[in-house]
Amino acid sequence: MAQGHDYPRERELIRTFLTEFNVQEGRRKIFKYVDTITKIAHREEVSLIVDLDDLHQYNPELCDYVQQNARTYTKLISDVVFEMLPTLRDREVPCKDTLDVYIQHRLIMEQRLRQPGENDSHNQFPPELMRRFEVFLRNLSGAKSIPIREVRAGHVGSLLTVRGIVTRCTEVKPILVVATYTCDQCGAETYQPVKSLSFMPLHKCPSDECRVNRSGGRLTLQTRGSKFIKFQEIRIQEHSDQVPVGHIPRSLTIYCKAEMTRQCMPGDHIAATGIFLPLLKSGFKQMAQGLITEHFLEAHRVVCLTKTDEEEQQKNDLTDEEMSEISGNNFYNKLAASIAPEIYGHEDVKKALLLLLIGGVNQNQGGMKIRGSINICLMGDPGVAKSQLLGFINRVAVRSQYTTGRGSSGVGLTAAVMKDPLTGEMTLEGGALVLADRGVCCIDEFDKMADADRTAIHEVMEQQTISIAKAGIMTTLNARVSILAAANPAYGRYNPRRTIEQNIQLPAALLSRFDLLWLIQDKPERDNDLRLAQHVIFVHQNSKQPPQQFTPIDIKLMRRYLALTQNIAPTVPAELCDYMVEAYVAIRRDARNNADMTFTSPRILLGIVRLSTALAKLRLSEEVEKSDIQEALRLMEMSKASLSQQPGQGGRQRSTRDRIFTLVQELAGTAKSVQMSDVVDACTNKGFKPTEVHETIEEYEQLNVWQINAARTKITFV
Amino acid sequence: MKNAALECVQSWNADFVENNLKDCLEKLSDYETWQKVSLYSATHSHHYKEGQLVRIQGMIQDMHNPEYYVSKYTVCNKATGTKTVRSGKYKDVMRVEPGESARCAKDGKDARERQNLFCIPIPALNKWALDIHKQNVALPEIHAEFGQSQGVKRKEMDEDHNDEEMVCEDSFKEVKKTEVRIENVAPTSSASENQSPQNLDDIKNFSFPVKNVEGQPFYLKVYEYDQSTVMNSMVEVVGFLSADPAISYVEDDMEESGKKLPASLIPRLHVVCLKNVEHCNPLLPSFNFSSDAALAFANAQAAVCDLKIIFTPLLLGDKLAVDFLICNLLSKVFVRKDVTQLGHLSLNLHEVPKMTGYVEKFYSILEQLVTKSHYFPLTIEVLNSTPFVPKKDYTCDKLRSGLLQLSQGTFLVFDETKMTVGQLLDLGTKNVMALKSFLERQEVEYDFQFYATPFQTDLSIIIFSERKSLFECDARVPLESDPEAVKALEASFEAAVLYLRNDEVTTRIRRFLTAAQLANYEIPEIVQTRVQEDFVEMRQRDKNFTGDDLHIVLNLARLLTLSTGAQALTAEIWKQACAMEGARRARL
Repeated sequence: MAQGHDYPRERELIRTFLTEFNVQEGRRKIFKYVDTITKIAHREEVSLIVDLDDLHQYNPELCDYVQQNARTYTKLISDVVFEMLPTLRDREVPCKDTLDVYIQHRLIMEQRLRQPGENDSHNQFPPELMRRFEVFLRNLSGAKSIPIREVRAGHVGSLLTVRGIVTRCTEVKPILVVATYTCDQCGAETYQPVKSLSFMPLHKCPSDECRVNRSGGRLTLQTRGSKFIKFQEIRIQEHSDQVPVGHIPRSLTIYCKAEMTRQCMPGDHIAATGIFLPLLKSGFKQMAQGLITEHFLEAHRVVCLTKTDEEEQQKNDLTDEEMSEISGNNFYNKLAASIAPEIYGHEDVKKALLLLLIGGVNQNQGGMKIRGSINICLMGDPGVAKSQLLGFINRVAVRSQYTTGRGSSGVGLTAAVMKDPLTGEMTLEGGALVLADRGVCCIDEFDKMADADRTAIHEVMEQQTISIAKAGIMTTLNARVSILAAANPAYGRYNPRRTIEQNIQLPAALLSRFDLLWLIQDKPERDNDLRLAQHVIFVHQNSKQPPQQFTPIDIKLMRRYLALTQNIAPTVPAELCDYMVEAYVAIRRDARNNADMTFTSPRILLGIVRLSTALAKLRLSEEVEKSDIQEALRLMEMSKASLSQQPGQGGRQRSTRDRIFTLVQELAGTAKSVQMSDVVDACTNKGFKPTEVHETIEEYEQLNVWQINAARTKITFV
Repeated sequence: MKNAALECVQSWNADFVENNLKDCLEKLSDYETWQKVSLYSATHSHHYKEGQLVRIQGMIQDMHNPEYYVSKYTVCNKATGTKTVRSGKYKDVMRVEPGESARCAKDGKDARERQNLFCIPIPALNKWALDIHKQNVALPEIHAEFGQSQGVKRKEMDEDHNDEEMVCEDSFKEVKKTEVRIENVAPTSSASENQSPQNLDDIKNFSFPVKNVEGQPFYLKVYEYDQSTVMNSMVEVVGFLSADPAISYVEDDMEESGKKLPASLIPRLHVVCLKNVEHCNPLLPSFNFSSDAALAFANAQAAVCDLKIIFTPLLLGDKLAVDFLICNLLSKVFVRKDVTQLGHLSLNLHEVPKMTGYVEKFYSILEQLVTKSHYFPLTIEVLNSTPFVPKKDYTCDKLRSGLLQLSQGTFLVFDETKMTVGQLLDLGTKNVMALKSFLERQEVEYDFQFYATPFQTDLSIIIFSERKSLFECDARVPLESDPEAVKALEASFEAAVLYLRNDEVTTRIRRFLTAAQLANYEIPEIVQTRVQEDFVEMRQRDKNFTGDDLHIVLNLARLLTLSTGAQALTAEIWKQACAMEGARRARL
């Protein structure tokens, strides 16, 4: 290296680090590394993991060197550890395996045969043979993982962390580290450390005896005296989101040795820390080596990532700047509008979809499971961008599956029992719902699905599990999914006069499992149409989206923010419970009184809880607030309103006021006056905007229907 | 001295280019100089020598991992003890003369990376375009010094005029050997599903989206790769040819063996300059073509007139269908944003006459006009056996190609009249789903087994069917046949063939179709307001008319504008587009 490393000095530094590094725990100091090395000395431990965090704390400069030139320092550390071993051994160690016995024999023999000071370079025991431990490095916890695409020639020799999906794993096989030979003439032992994947066996005995006598001793490989370690080769490939558009994912080979083997299976998402090294060739191949060298990652740490780890990682990445971009005024609307920004309007639907992505809180107490995921069904006339909404959600959600009702059978949606062609064993193959566990399953053309297949979804939608009893396999698989379904009304168009079941021909049992049902209708209206036309023309003219009042939030940022919300489990404070219950009772009462086209069941109460907790999660708050519940109720009301729309826009404005008035009347009952706050609450629960309410109140005040006191807290009927 | 060397493009060698990279690239940005580099032709592979600068045209079919090479190494002459530093750029094998030994830095400090791209000849390129390409191939003169003896111990690959004496007889023998190797690709075994490709035919089956393509695939080694070249893009490349058998020897030992095929089958090309091209019409320059395009575009009226003359009788006198066909021929995706993509116009012509081989005959006319096209009979058997979607094969680490991996602007003609009743198997179902989602989103999800990644694809699709097609297209036009035209159909085809014998006509049409696809387009403000008002009115009249329909009509208007040779929408054309869409809807 350019600075000219003072290795002996660094060796001392490392030694002090290993002996002196300690962590204060309570009143005791824990000497982490000394403890481990002592265990190694007693053959109770086979690997020493050096945490670069610790090293950084001790000597940042040294830590940098280690990171950049990891292989050399790994060797240095293991030399130091080897020297330390005898000093830490406080009792005789029983031999654990043949190699231990073998090593012990050699040591005894050496003591007997050799004169001190004699140095026979050929027959010295290579350090690799004598060591029964491995040194692994753990990267700094703050170190970012490098995308496989970014791994460059400049990284050769340094410690890297990469992430990817395992595409191939070889069997774990023994690899030769030191080959030991015996000579058939003189009986001397020769050792050959093997550093690459292949080696050229030695033939001629290099010992002094044979050389001097020219007896031409032949060497034979001794398996028992040679040292083997576990070896596995894995190949990882970039995650799909790291691949730029129009490119093929890249892959990287990882060599795992000793304790790093058997950490993952094909298909796993892993994070691997290791040293990026060129592959050395031996013998003739080395001479013939062309200009190309192959590189691999020597694993020092392999971690299987579960989804949550990944999310945690993503959370850390969210900078203050990004946070301020997301939060800030009106962020709920902004986030909602960023869902499928190219689709016009439908703000409430988008809000609902945003909540679906966030989800409520799963309750699992005393065996009683209450799902937290929100299910939504979008209905609508053909061509109202339902599929586009689904497609967008499918892209935003970290884990999601997209199927169409016609394309999937019940088995495809749940799980199938398959016979493995090789072993003849029965295996379970997850269908779309199982694969979307902890995610979203988008089902397009839900109405086109065969009845038998649809029933398979019932269990998933409430119990969040899939039970299978087929071909001798009985099991329950988790399917904690939010279902987003899109359906076309029967007979082409939605008929508000019929009930919802008649309209989309789905059984009530299934419909009640949706928290929100939404009817998206497309009605001609001058202003809207004009804006739509301008929008479309702009796209055609300028080949890009028109500038909007707001810039939609980037999908990746949104995804990370959503991941952040997943770490929060808000609770409903006791004082709001009553409020929620009242609201539910009111809904039930309404459903009884009016000839309701929708389906009202106790599940609605749970739905309100789910929606309001999702809203609290969106605010990153640990507690549900009254405004959350109000918004949840408003969404419920809007979804219901979308299903029972009165025809005609002009009359509707009028009817809003009428409805508010009737509501106030109901509220007052026989009493002469009502509290203003009650009125506002009741109205917002019904989905009216506060401004509408106030306008109505003022209007009726002017008409002298009622009077309002000076503080505007009370309404008294005249 | 240097300037003179720069002028003579053919004589550039690797060291020269490396030392004067900037000047060379500047030189190559000039189309004339670019053209001077000899175009590689597979049939004359023996004319090319190692390390020669050649030009190829192709499509990126696959991208491999980058490889690391030694950027410089020191060669020490054992006899004289002199040390020279040689560069590893643009080379595959070290150049070490007998009596020399090479050393490179152990710690890998000199390692640099280069990107490996797999480039195949542009698939579905039509015969006329290929013929013109062949005419353009100017074979390099065979110099006395070309080729060098090649041996494993004595590896040389780049030729250096100064210091070597050649034994000509020897080198000829060697070359012959290499040549035999290249052509010795007897189709002994056809690639079975699970086998990695072994010979050129296997490669074609494996990596080519369309099978009957002639030409030579290449491994491109790209230095300073900026990721702007994406999958399936058409490229023109100038680089140094390298087919040294020693490469295979070097690569054989690589851990990912089986991945790379021997250089004798697939030569390596060390890329000096890689250009993404937008079209591959040999009648127009591949870049810097604005003036030529404008010229071709000016001929729009005549060309469209020709097209109408040819196609009106073939489509049974149905003028509306002809209009839609012309629009389809000009269509190209011009904007992509999130889930919206605009510009494509897939066409379903149904109620085709019950004449045997109608679609084939129709296609044979079409393929004489467009640069790239492919005819695909939709039958149960073919659907069940031909993969549509490319799939990553991890055993050999290559991408197995599929029909929908065609380059931008290819015309894909599906013949659904061939469809019979039958059972779709696994592959068939996947194919149908892939085609459906492609027609919807102009996007194909390549199968990487562990996940699928969408790739943007831009193909123009025409489906011929007896009744409404299985697949939903942007525009469905039932043919309204004129009984007279039906009777004269046979004769009409003959007439069309005769008409196309006229070179002037074909050239005009061919140039126009490409130029129009690439032309710019705008909507003047005054027409914009008109369109807006019309839309509102249409909505009042028919509430089924949605924003998506407006997209379709606007797109039609764009294509109609281009077909008249104009580049700005006018009120008349807008009206015409509305009328056209209206007439089409009336037929459904």
